[in-house]
Amino acid sequence: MGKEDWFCLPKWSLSSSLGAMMAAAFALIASPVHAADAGTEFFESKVRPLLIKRCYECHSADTKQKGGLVLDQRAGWEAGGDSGPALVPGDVEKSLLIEAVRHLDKDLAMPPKEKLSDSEIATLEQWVTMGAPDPRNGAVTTTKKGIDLDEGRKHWAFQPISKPSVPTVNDAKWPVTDIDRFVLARLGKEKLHPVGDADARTLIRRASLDLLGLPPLPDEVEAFVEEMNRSNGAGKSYEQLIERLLSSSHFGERWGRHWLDVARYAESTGVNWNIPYPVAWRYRDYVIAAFNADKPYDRFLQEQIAGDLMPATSDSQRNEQLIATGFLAIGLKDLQALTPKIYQMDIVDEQIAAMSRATMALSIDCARCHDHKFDPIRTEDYYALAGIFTSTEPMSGVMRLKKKDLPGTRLAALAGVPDVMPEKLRDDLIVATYDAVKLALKQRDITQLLDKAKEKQDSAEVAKRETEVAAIKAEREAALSTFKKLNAQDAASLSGKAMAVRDVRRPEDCPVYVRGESDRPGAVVPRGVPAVLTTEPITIKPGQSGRLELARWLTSPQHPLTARVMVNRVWLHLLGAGIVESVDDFGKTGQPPSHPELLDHLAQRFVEGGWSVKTLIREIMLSRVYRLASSHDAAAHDIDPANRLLWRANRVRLDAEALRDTLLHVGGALELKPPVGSPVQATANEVEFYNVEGLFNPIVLAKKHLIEADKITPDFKCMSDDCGHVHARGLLTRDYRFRSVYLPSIRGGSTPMREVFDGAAPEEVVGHRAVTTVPTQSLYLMNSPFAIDCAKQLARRVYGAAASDAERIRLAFEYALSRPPTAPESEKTSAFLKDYPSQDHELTWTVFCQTLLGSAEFRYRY
Amino acid sequence: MLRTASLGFGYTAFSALAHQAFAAERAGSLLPKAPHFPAKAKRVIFMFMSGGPSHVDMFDYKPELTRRNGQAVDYGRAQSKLLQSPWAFKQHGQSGQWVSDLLPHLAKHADDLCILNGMTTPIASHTGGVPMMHTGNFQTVRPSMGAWTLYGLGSENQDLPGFLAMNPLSNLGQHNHGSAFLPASMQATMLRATNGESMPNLAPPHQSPAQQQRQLALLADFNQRRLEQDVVNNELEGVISSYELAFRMQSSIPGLMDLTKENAATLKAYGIGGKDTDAFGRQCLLARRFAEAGVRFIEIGTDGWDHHSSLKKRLGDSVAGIDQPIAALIADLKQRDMLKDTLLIWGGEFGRTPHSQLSGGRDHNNNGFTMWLAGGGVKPGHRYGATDDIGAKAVEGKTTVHDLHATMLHLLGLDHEQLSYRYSGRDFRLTDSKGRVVKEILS
Repeated sequence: MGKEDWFCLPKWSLSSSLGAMMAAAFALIASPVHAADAGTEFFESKVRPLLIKRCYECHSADTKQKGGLVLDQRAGWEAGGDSGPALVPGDVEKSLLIEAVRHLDKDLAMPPKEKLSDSEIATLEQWVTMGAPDPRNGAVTTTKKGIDLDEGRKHWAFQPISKPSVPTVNDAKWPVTDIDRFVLARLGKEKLHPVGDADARTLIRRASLDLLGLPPLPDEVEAFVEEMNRSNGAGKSYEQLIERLLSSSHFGERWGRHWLDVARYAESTGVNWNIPYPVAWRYRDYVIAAFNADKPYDRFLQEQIAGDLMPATSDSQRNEQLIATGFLAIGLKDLQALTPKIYQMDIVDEQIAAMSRATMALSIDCARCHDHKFDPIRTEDYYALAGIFTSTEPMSGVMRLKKKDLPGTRLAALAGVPDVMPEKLRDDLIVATYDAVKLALKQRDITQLLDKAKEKQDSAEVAKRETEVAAIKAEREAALSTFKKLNAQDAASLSGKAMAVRDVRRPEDCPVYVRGESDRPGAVVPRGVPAVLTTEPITIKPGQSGRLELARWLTSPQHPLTARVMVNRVWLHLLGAGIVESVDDFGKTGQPPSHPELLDHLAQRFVEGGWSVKTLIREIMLSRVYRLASSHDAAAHDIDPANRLLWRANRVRLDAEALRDTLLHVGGALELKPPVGSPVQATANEVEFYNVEGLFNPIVLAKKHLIEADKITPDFKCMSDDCGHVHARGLLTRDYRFRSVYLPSIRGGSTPMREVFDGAAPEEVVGHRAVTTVPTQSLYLMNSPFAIDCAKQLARRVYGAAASDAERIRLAFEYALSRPPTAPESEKTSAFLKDYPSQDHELTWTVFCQTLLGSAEFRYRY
Repeated sequence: MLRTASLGFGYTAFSALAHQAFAAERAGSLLPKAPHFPAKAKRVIFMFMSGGPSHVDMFDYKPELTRRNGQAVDYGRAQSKLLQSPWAFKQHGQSGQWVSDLLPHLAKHADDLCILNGMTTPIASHTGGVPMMHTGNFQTVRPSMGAWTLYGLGSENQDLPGFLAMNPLSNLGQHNHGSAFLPASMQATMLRATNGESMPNLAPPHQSPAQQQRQLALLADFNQRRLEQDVVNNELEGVISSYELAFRMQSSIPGLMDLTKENAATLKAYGIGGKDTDAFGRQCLLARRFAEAGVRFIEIGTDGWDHHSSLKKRLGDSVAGIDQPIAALIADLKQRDMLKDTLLIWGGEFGRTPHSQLSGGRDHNNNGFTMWLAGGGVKPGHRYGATDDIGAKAVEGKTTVHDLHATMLHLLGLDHEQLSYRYSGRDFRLTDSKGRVVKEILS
């Protein structure tokens, strides 16, 4: 823990091991007694023995240096520890050391276990009152090892992945795969038994929603049920179902979305100014395609971190790898950052956060200002990584809002596509924008003066100001037209551009920035990876940033985290909860795995099997655990209400995307064909659009509000906070019909479904979405035009497809819930159709279908 | 059967449910419950200033900091300089409470405030501090204080959510307003209330209320059947109650959110229409209206209090947004004789350091900061706890977040040690195994 944690944590930190603070022996290096004055004598006779006996064990240069404090040198207490100087000579009340030994404050109490005797405390008080005479000379030799790496490596997640033997279980008949043996063995320890298997209908609905985010249609369900019945569950129909789903192109749309959550995918910068990223969608499409192609996960990560540095044999491969690095370019950016350095270091921080949390479930970014509070990640580790990213230039097509920062505006040029927007023109565009903005502001100011003059009825002044306003108006229109022309050209150039990163010309190591302050560089640290996770440092090829080496290290089969984290993410999306519940935190503050051996078993097979995500999914889905029913069991529920041990299947609320897609799909209204590009790009050259919606032109930086002078206030202030939401609303709430993964993703704003049904906010890595149950969701399904329209589509579909009401009711249930109605449900529905107070048939059927789509069963995957 | 009878879904719903005795005693019931002992406060309005407002510039007067302005202090690797507050402090009211010039409106209510100067919280990161303040835990997902309040007391108005969060800070995590393992109906309903719009989807565009009642009766039937099949399903129960509540909100919410019913003087007092004050003024006025209507726990708030730089300008802007609205809220509650049983809580996830950071900003400080309470059973015009000479850390009357929670529950008539929920073989509490009722501030 870093010294500066003084202001971040309870004084002596959260560590409970403080207990050991003052107990072991210390080999005293005797220092010569200098002057035989009274003070020194007092120190030597009373204080030094006391310090040795009660404090050195934890607070000496050669021992633990707990809390960063050493007491075996004068310089030690002078410099103090994490909580500041240990004592103020002459002032007992201001001396932390005294406060600590008095045990008045339990966070600070020292020694923590056994309080000093009253006479010992009095000795120390007297010593401080005397001015703390201390003859011990010499510089502080603290090695300032706040973090003990060897100790840190003992954390379960940093240990090498083991190859656990598969447990033997009593009930040898139940398990189908090894996964089942691990789970059953753990259940057995609590004397719990798994519930029965899910029926065929539940199973196909579950599998289909899990793999595609879409429910099966009635024909598919019937065929599957029939085959399962015929073979009594023993045939290959379930395996074939899984293969069919895995090879569907919709698989990538579902599983790509899971990755986009952790990749904090969005099409705008977020926070202040919120400028769109018009070609971010290429990264989205890359991710979807990668999951569809079952790109090995190690390769997938390497491309996202260093695709631009990897060899390619064709333009298309080069482009693909380049687009993959969009992962590092699509993050949140504060374009109002105070200085270029802050802007750069904030981007670096965001990249470190995204990379380390997404791939390793570690919050390495917490070590920017001080050593990590909980995990063995030192500030040096952070800046070793930071050097890799400061040696990398994001090509995001945006820049900090200062004219002098022109170079930051590039997008990457794709190979084989002519560049119609050379850099020169791009720079002209920026200048044109500033001109337009400047003139707009000027016009506003002079108009105000004109108004004042009018108020005062000063006709001379009025005339003067009117002339000025007219002149500026003309000038402004000219500037605006230049801006529009260049802007259109710029928009057209986007077809050959992608968000990506590249190495800077002269990659170099980065200094530690003291307390994260970018104007306070400290010692330079060699680029590298966190020491706790490696035995030997990486060697970076001269002239390169080190991203390639980082990517290789991250995906090495020996890496303790990468495979475990991914396996756990996949498990979460199939079983409804991670083996490690804190899917984004494998550090000390995370949860330990519920089934550690199973996690390692899966991780180890994942790596050995070539990092194939589809293989992993197949393996999990073929287990009996996956195929369990979700039914209740009172005894098991008493012991394990959260079902951490998997005695049954978890019920999972459909996420925002699956829910929307399913609502559309059951009525046949979902466009299954992916759209080309993104609505965000489609609007990139619609200047007026930005005017209306309040988003900015992507490359141009300036808010359209600034260009249209009269709109500067009051929206101006509003734009910087959550009103960004309001401004992007037009783009977000259009009546799109394609799959949800292709909906615009704007930071600070949400599509209605994402907002109401807990979609992932792209401000940070989201491995596990929250699930809320609130009346606003019910209101959405009851009253939103979207929900009603989906119901109407389903009503039309079933009404047209069958001749009798009974048949229509059955079909509606089958579309909505993948099962026929029970007898009471049919009865209730018939009664409803009869007594619903309306003569309008279509309305009656719409309302009935809406009821099914609003039912809890529809909302959950069982 | 009181609950089911109040559904308003008509005869069919009633009969469908009538034979299911357990429905009336659903775990997630929001019917009012008796407190453990007579309560001083009936409801809470929690004003959360996300980012960590600077106590030494607002409510914690530190002349020593001014004297030592510019003095270097060493906090480990970094040297920093003490930064005096750019604002002067004065004593206000009968109580002589020190409040800075930054808060001219609120200063007039100094005699209503019970200022806690000795607050501490275990963690100085936003991602830890915010859930700590809301749930008493920063490491795992736990029920929020609003959810615990509902769990303890139920709601006074069955036509409104019992726990409302306006201007929710969703990027900090839904669990700050969530119910975790408590019944799903205890979580907050989020309301955007900054732009004068009402809640969306409050009326069926395609059918009459009578038709909708018929529909919801069928829906209730479907859902109840599924619940019977599932036997235990907390979330499904949450869905069921959320539909019932949603139906009733269609009639209750529009009127409550319609501020045109308020007279011009009231709107002006709250700063509605004002450049800086409009957004939070609306929240405050809505909070009063919802409080009046019987909502048990209301969270309002603003963000952007993380003033690492340019404190003078930015803190000034932040305070300008809240000072007048909060003063108006206190005055309004008083005038309606509601302050006595409404507990106001104001604060952020932590405070800020006395030393400076970047250009004239302050860093996070969890070792000492200020929150204040008002109304519902706390001593008015009172100050409790203190930080050291410069506001760096609490040295007197230290109050932890658990203490604050314990005190809040106490004022609501709930014993924080008794208010527990058995889950996974353990009794959970808002205050974990800690917390002390700060008796010193009870009136």
